[in-house]
Amino acid sequence: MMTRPRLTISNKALVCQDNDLRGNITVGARTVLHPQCKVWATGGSIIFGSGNIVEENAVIINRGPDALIIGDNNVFEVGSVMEGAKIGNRNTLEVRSHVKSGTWLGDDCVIGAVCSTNEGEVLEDRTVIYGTNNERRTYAGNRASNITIHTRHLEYLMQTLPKFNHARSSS
Amino acid sequence: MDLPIIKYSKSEYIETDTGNKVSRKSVICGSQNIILGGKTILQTGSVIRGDLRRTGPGQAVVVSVGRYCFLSQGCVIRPPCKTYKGAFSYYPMKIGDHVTIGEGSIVQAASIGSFVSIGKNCVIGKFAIIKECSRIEDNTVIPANAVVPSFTIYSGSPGRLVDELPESIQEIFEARTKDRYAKFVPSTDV
Repeated sequence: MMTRPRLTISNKALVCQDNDLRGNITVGARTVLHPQCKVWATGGSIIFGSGNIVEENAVIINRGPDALIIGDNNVFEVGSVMEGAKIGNRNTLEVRSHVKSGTWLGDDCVIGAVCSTNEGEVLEDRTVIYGTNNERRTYAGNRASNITIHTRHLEYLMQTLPKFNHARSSS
Repeated sequence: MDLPIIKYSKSEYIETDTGNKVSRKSVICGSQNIILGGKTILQTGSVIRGDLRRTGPGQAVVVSVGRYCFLSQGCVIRPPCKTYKGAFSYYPMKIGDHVTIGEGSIVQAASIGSFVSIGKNCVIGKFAIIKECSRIEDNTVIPANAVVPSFTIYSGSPGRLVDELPESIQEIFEARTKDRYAKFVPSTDV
């Protein structure tokens, strides 16, 4: 029998219905959870910071006893799986990427499409994982433009999604 | 090359006047912005995001899918997004006729031509353009903004050209999608 999730949702956040939320979840301001995403706090709770985007079919699981704290302005794209222990700010998990259990993500990391991390790995800030063999390099560019795109994306979603989807509120 | 007969339970699928067969277990957001051309099959667990529409007035079609398309289980069709002249927006996506999209594939292309076959677990990046009569093998990753030309086979991550297709491929794909639609029948024992 599934128990009802305990949700604490900021009134500036947008959490769509028809998604699968389990356990103790806190959602910060300006965070958007698309329909059909899965957030399972089966162990400790999951705490979202502000400005995160979780797209459809993305899975965030916290099996460990400790709380999983997700920083600010992260993007979990379609079909990505996050099982890691810690995630900083401004990370992008691209389409169907996999952050395995115990991984620590710093800030400004990009896990490319279909790439995965190793178990228990610590990724330094600005690491980019790409290609078939999960090659790594350090991002040398300027993230400032990406941040403006991200804030515009959030504004768009906040404006458009409520027109077509029902939003959830705290329980 | 004979396709097996796929049986579905009649209670799960909705059949429209134009012959589209849409699973009740598929997720369709913003259905007023989606066009299905007819005789298109949407299987269980597929997701179409019609709610991510272009900002501003006018043209509201977000995803248009042609005839005899087959969207397999768990595939995701979502329009691509970018900022253009300082304004962030999602842009419409067009899928031609006789297109097959395999299980678990995620499509964010700008356009997919007719007679295209996309394998299982593929990722088609944002604003990719897939021209007519091409094939994407299983587990291929087509990067954002890439163009796949006609009569080619792409494979790998990132997707690369591996082979070419004969000119007869149009008839082959057409026959196959029609055959698949004909063999997608409700199970008689309800």
